[in-house]
Amino acid sequence: MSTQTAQRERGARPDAGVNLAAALHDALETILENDDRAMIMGEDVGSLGGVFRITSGLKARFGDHRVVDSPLAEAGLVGTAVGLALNGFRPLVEIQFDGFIYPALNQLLCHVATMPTRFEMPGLLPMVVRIPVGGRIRAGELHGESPETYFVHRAGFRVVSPSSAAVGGALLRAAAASDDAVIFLEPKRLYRGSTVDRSEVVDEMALDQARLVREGDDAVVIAYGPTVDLAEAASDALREEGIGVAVLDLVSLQPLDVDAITQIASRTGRVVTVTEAVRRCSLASEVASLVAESCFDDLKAAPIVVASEYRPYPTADFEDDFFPNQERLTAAIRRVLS
Amino acid sequence: MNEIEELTRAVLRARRFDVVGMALQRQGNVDTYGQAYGQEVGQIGAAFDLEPDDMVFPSYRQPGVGLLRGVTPLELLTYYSGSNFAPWDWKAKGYGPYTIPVGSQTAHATGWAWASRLRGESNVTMVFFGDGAASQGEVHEAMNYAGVFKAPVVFVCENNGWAISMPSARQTAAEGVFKRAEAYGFPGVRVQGNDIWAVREASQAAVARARAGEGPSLIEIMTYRIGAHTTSDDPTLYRSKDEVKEQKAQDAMQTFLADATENHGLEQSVLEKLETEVEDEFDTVVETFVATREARR
Repeated sequence: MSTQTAQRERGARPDAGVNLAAALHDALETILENDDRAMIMGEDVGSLGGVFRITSGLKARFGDHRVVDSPLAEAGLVGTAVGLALNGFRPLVEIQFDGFIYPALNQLLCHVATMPTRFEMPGLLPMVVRIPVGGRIRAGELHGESPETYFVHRAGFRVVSPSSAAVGGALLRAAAASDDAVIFLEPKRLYRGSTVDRSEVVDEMALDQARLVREGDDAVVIAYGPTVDLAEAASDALREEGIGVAVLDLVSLQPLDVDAITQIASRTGRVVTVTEAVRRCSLASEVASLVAESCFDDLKAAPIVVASEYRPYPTADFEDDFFPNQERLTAAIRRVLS
Repeated sequence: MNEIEELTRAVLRARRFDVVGMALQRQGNVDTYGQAYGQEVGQIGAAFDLEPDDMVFPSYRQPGVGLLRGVTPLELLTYYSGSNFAPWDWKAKGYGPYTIPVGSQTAHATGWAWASRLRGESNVTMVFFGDGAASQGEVHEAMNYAGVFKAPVVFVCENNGWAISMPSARQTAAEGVFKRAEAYGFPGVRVQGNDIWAVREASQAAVARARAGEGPSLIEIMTYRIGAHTTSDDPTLYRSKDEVKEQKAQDAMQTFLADATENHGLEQSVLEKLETEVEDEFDTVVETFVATREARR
């Protein structure tokens, strides 16, 4: 399949800029081109190109040994990827939906996270596990999960999440180049919901650096992955009222870019954190706690956490109420400003 | 050393390691130990004919196989004494790290073997797991993946009758584990663990098949865990003393040694020499190990 056909498969017009799906596709293509040890594994990733078409055309180009349609079994998928990585390959595993990662948690939590430190062998497991995450696309039950807490709670992974088409490709290339095991959380709403002009595409991304995506001196919203565009929209709206709200995109969920977080928190003194996950034991509450502990003397208000309701993911009709929306986020920003 | 002497030495070292591991735990020099008592002959039979560049993924109850692969007794003991999770160079020795979530190492073995096949290498991978682990979904997935991708891996299920307190009848209503292979599209055989020649024959066939690119095999070794699950276990709570007594009387090592001297040309004097050598070796091991432990305290 030609790249243009592949682009059409992904729903992109060649002249319409780059969406996140295309950016990730192109990054995977580059990774396979540049490293013979790289291989893509997952359910339906070959002929179909994955259910989100991120791998469209790659099997035709690189062969079914490098773009491997796996049996429908996630523990076996991640477990065999561990064996392949131990024995010289660099697997890029695609999990079909966030809700399907759970059968692989034994392999991820007991082995992938622990092996390099247990055996004092850094770089032992150079593998990437890509997981489409987040909601607000009216997908079915268990198709809109936010599983990041499991991975940041378990020491041993790098966890990153791109927040737009501009950064997705570079971040994925960095993840594949890393000798660490990387959990790569792809906000599925942005596959086709984030499109940028080619000139806006970032060439290089570090795996451990946050990005200040909006400047502002009055307050800061600290977001990541699927909530960054929400924070940007809230910031843009408040700017029209003359209120400067900075937005920090964490990019790296583990390790945290502590310097970037504490600098912007101390400078603005007013902090809101936002996540699509529920608040209980969430990364957003962890960041709020970090800010409260490290920047207490500079804070002018208590940090506020904006998160989803503490309940399992609802049916699609109720997802707008379940997730943080611009109204709730804006209300939280006004509260830290008051 | 001829083959029967090598086999004998491997079995004797496996048993001696087990005795020493148990004793050191009871003295407080090892934290927890899981005995292989009764299973050593089958384990040696399975792994004896592997090449140095083959790979073995153990569970945590195959010390004799580790010794056979060139891991030192001191390295193995260190695992049980709280200072290191993988004290041996497992890639170089071809004896993988111990795996605690039972059965999950079978997927690593499939992946490792798959990688060898992708590179066109002729080495094979052997993975050990128990009848309890065979109930895990990951073992099913690992065997299924191995079948689909023709991974050169030999699955060795040691059916030792007990998964901690549960007899194998509580793990499956079927006749053991070996028949599952048919459902994955590869051969499965059952062999008696006290018959080292039968185990070797099955292993050699499975290894040859894997080397020839024909894919995986499953071997179920029927054996018996004479010891406890670990030093924290109390088997008197769930199985009869008579059962254990009967199994001890048929101890695979004694069966093997009798067979070796009667039918395979092992001179009694050579056996005694090997026994003395192994005992001396482990006396030194224990001395060094205890001294190292003392120094760390």
